[in-house]
Amino acid sequence: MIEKVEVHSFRCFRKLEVSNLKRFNILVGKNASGKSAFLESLFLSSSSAAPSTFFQLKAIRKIGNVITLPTDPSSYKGLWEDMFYEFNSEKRIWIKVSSNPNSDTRTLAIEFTTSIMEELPFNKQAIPSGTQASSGMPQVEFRWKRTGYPEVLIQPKVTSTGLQMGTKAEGKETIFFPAIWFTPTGADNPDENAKRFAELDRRGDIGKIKEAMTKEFSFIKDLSISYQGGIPMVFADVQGGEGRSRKMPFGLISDGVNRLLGICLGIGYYKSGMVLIDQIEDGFHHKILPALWESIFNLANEFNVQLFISTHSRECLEALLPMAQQHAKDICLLRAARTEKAGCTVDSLSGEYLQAALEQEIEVR
Amino acid sequence: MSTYKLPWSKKLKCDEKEPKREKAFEPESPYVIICEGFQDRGLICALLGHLKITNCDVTFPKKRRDGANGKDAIFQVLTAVAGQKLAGESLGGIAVIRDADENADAAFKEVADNFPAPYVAPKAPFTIAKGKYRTGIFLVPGKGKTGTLDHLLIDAVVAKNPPVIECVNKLETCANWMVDWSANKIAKMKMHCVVASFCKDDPGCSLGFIWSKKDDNPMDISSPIFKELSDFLREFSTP
Repeated sequence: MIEKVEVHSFRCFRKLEVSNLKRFNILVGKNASGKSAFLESLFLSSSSAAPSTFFQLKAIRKIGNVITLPTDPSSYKGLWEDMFYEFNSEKRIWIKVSSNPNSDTRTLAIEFTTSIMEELPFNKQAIPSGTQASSGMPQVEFRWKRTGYPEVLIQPKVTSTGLQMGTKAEGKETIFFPAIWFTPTGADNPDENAKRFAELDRRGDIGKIKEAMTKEFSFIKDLSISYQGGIPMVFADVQGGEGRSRKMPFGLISDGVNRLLGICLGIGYYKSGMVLIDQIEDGFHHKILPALWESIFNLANEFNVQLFISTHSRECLEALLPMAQQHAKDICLLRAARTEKAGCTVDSLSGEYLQAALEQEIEVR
Repeated sequence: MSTYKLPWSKKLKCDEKEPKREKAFEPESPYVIICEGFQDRGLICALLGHLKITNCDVTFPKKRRDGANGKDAIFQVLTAVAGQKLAGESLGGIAVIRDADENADAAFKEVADNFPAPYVAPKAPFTIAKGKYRTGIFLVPGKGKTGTLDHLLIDAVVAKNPPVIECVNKLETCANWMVDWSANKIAKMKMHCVVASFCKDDPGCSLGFIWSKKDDNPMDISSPIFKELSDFLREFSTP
C-alpha cells in the first residue's frame, strides 16, 4: 500500500511530497487545484508502460484520442511537453511512490536527453519547408523502476509505422502494478466488466461483488454473464411483476447502477492493487451515496485494494461520515490547492480530521 | 424536528420541513474564533463589529457527538479549523472562547491540551501566544471568575438596567421548584426572562439575535463589562 508520494516537475506540481496515505484516500480541492494531476502521477508510475499510459491520460482528459504524428522536432517535443511543470522540459520529471516500510517502491523519471532519435520518419512523410528535419527528433526517455525488478528504459521512437513506445522493441516485459483509473463517466465498458466478472468468477471471488450489488438494489436478484449482439456483458436477474424475473444487461438498468458495478468489479479485479476514482459522485442519486461508500470500503478491505477517490460534492462527503466514524484510522483526506508561488500542493489530513470536520460542518473541499 | 410515538408504535414525522441548511463553515479571514454556541457567536460578532475588527471569522460546534458533552464538540471544531488553509497557508491564528464553568483552571487545561499542530496553545488564559501562529483562550465570564456567558450578560444587564435584575431575582425566590437548579441554569433562566421582557416584537428572541435589536436590547455592547473580552479580541486580531 502506498504510504508516500513524491512528485517533481510534473504537470502543476513543482515539488510535492505527500505522506501518511491510507487505504482510503479522499481527494478534494477546487477546480484546477491539481486533483487529476495527482491521480495521474499515481497512475503513470504504476507501470513500466508509462509512455502509453501518458497518451491514455491525454484521452481521459479529452485532449486528443488521436495523435497526429509530428514531422518536426519542435512539434514532437510539444507532444510530451504538457507533462512537465510549466511546460519546461529542461527539468526532469521524477515520481516516486513508496510503501511503508519501503517494501515496494516505484520510481519513474522522464526527461529529454541530449541524444537524437536514431530512426527518423521522414522517408515516408513530407517534410514541411523550413523545418529542422536534418537535426532529428529529440529523445524523451522514461526510466521506470520497481523494487525487486530491473530498471526499464523506454525510449519512444517515431517510425514510418507510427509512434513506437519502446518497451517491446527493447525486448523487455511490461511490469504492472495492478491499478485502474475510473473517469467520471467511465467504469461502464461492457467488455471490460464482462472480462473482470469472468476472472472474479474463476477466482471464486464474484460472490462478494454479487452481494454488494444485490444488497443495495433489492430488485436485482443475481448477476451472470451472457451475450448480447455477440458481445459478452454482465446481466442482472431483475425482479419483475407477479414474481417473474427477467435478465437484462446492466447498461439498461441505469448508468449509475452500471457504474457501481464497474467500480466494484474493478476493486475485485485489481486485488492488492490501487483503484483511482475521479468524481465518484457522478451518476449516483444522493440516497445511494452512503451505501456506495459502504460497498466500496468493504470491497477494498476484502480485496486489499488502496483507493484514491476524488469528489466535489458536499452531499457525497456527508454520506461518507458513517464510514469515517468507523474507519477514521484508515482514511486520509487529501486537499489539493493551487498556490501562486509554488504551483499546486496536496495536504494530507487524518481521518479524525475528516470526521471532525464533517460532524461539525466545517468545509473540507 | 420532533417525533411522537403513536399508540401503534409507529413514528410520525410531525414536521416534514428540514431546517434550513447553513453553508459549511469555511474561513475567509486569517484569524478564527471558536466559541461554544450560537449565543456566544452573537456577542462575539457584535463586539467585533463594535471594535471594527474585520479580520476574524467566528464559528461554533453544530453537533454534539452521541454520549459526549458539548465541550467535546469544541475540540472537534478546533481540530477541523486547524486543518483549514487560506491560499495554501495555515490560518494566522485560532482563539477559543468558552465558559469557565465551575473550574476555570480545568477549563483552560482542557482546551490547551487539545490545540493541534502547528498551533501552540498559550501558557495562560486571557493571553495571546504570538508565535508563527497566534493562539488565545478566553474563559467566560472573565478573569478570576467561574460561570458562563449568561453570568457575563447578566452583569451587562445590571450595568444598563439595574432594577430588572431585582425582578428576576424575585422570580427565582418565588419559583420554589428551582431550588435544586445549578447556578449556571439559574443564570440562563434569568437572562432568558430579561430578554423576553425587553423584546416587545419577539419575546421569544434568542440571545444570539439580541444584538441585532436596537431598542429592545437590555445590554449595551460598549459596556465596560465587556472590556476584558474586547481587549482580548483586539490583541488577538492585531498582527
